Amino acid sequence: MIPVYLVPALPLAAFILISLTSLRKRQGLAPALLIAALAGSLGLSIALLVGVQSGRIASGSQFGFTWMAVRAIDPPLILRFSFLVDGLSALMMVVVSAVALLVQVYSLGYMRGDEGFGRYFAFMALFSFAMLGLVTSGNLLQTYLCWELVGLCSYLLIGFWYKKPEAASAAKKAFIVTRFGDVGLLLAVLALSYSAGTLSFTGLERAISAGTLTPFFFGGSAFLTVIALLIFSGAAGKSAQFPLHVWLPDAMEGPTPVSALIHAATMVAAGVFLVARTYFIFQAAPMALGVVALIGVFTAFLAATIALTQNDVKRILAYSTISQLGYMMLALGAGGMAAGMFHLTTHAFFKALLFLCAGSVIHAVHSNDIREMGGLARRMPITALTCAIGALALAGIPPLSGFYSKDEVLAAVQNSGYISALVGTGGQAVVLALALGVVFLTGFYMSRLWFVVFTREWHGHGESCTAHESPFSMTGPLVLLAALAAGAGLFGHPVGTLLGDASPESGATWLPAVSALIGASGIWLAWLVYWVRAYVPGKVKSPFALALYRGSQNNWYIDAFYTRVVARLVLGTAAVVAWVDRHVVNGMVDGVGWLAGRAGAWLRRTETGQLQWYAYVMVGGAVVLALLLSTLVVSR
Amino acid sequence: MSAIPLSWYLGLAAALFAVGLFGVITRRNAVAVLMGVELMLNAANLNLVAFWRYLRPGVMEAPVFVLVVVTIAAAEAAVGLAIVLSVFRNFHGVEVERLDLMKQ
Amino acid sequence: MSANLQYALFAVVAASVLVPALLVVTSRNLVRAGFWLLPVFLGVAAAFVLLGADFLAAVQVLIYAGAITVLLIFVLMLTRGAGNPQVRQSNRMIPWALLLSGAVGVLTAFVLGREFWPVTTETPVPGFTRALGEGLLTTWLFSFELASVLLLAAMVGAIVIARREEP
Repeated sequence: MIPVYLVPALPLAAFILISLTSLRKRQGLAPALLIAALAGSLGLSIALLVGVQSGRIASGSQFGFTWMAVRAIDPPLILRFSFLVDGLSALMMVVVSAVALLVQVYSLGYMRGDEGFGRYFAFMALFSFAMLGLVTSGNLLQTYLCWELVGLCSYLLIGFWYKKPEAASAAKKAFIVTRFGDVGLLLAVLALSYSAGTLSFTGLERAISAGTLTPFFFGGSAFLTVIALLIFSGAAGKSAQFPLHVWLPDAMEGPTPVSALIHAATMVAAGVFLVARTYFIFQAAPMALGVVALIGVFTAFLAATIALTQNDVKRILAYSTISQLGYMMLALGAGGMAAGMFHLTTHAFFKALLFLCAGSVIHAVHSNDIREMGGLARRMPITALTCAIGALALAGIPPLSGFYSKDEVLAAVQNSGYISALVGTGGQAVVLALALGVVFLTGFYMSRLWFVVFTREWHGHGESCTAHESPFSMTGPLVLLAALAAGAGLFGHPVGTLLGDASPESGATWLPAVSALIGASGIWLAWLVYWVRAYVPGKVKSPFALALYRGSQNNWYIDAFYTRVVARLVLGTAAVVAWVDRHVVNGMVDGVGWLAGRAGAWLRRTETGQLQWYAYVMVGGAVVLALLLSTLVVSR
Repeated sequence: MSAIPLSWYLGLAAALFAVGLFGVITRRNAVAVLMGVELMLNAANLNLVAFWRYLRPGVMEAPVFVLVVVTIAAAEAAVGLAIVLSVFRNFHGVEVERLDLMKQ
Repeated sequence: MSANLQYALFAVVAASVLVPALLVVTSRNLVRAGFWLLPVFLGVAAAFVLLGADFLAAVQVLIYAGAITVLLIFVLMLTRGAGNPQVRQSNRMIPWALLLSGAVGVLTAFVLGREFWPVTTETPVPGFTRALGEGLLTTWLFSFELASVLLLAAMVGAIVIARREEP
């Protein structure tokens, strides 16, 4: 019996130890503690995965204890801590701890010399604890707890260089935007708790399939649809789906390893994981799944169009991440839960790889702007090669992993009953076309990035390029991740069986070949433009094209809209409320004081200072008292 | 056996007390107020002796009490008038209305 | 002593007490008011005699008529109280004071005057003064001493308060 609670507990212990010992002095101890903890978690996770895969470990809850029980109401409210071991959680445990471990090793080199070295690893440890706690959680309450904690760590790490104003506001933006989604999630948790009486995943699944859920608004299936959509709103916040995607590009203000771990591989995948975890709710509300798919594909296409024109290497990757997350949501919404999770796994590997490569380049060149780079392949061969592998995997070129996972997603879309139920077979075709369009765009923008950064001449500051390859602590993880990105395609079938979906999606036979060709054509176009210089972008004069270009570069003015409209609305309301507070509420409080003063002034008139007045009042009072008592006595 | 009922003496004392009270409340000069106080004290003494005579003439408690009351009245008059003198030195006048330093 | 004589004596005593008392509290001339105190005190002393407390009558005359009246008039002189007879000596509260005193007087008279006191037919023992003296120095010695201490304190206090400050 492998104690699953140790998997999140080890990073938690690392966090506590780091916080106590190495925040200022002995900062070198921090990464050692965390890497050791994560290595332990990884080992346990792999053992658990193997055990579940082979059937030796039964899926189900482990190690539960009651946190709080309110028995005064009926039915009693019982809140528990519990850990759930099954294929899904085992898979996520391995992915999270593996990527986290490699990123921490990379951080040794990347963050060297930073004054917040110890603090960085403390936050990373806390994040690892929260993320692993999230994926092993056995009930929605614990998930919500870890969900919020993960958001907190994201805030702390995005704003790691807090003295930089852009970083501070990016951290705030991330937290506030995800908060909008989190409200929906909280409402869903509360509603489920009230109507099902339990929050454990096994309990909820039982309640829904047995029909013992008591909806308290709308009807039976409409209730579940609303719940599912509320859960999805939380997922949309964390996984940067439209319209809550705006925080992710700005989150690139944080250190690059943070972007790699949190905003590519793990935290943003939490939304996808949540939908997968509560999939039984979505399956009982088919319309919700259709909505998820549509939002997913729209987000994917939108983000891909923006990534085309960005000049900041991390922003290209950020929009790419948003796009791929949309892909995952598309898969889930189409009914292919295994396909979506498989894509999550492969994406975690190659996206983390790409970010770490970007970090390597940024570290060497001291700039994020690709227009200031060029010709780096000669000087940073390992980085260039691993980056190429990652880019090809992302574009879906066989035999790399991305090809297999993307293929499964497309097959799921083609076979989906949920999408056609919502928008008809015509709509389904449009969705498929958009998904394939995303493949083309992905190939193009990734190749553009690679060609501009690693080929041609140096366009940066100074006479010639002074960059050099990164140290082994950074290139080692790159190589490992590249190997995973390349070979993870083999895991498709095992992942499927793990998640209870034995037969992988198989769509039309032409689908894999067509998608690979589309990806390749995107790469070919980029090669033409950026290597061969067949078409030079600067020569395009058409005003329509220029307008499109500018629109794309400004993320289609979504951020501008939020700033102008939404923020104005909120601040306006706040001004009104502030006025009420100042005048009405304060007025009441001041009014009480004023009243006390006036009452006192009126009563003060008895304190005349005149002796005879006092004597009069005393005797008069005695007379009155005597009269009262005498009437009492007489009446008796 | 006295022909005069107890209540007559009590009525006399009550009337004297009322007159003294009137003086205390009404007079403007501090010494005049003290005169009213003396009248009230005398009324009380009168009451005491009357009760003693008609209820328990055999025991001496009441007369002793009266003696103590007279003693205290004398002491109080002395101290009170000393205060009046002191007030006169500070205020150059002893109108009671002017002594309102305790006013809020 | 015949009843009629007693009534007559009581009437004289009552008049001698009440009428000057009224004059005490209403005279514009404060020195006159002070002097009207004398018949009041003497009248009360007479009442004490009628009631059989002869030593108390003597004390009343000595202390009240003798010491206190003199003291009052002395201080009146010292504080320029013997001023203009045109000046009003009673304040604005006359009607209210009448109401209150009337109420107090009537209330007290009626409450106390009802015929429920357990009046005895005993007569006071002869030797009032002797009994009083013995009691003061034996049974009620503590009160006696306490009263003495009080007098001492009052004496000292009065001297301190009325002392002229060193210039």
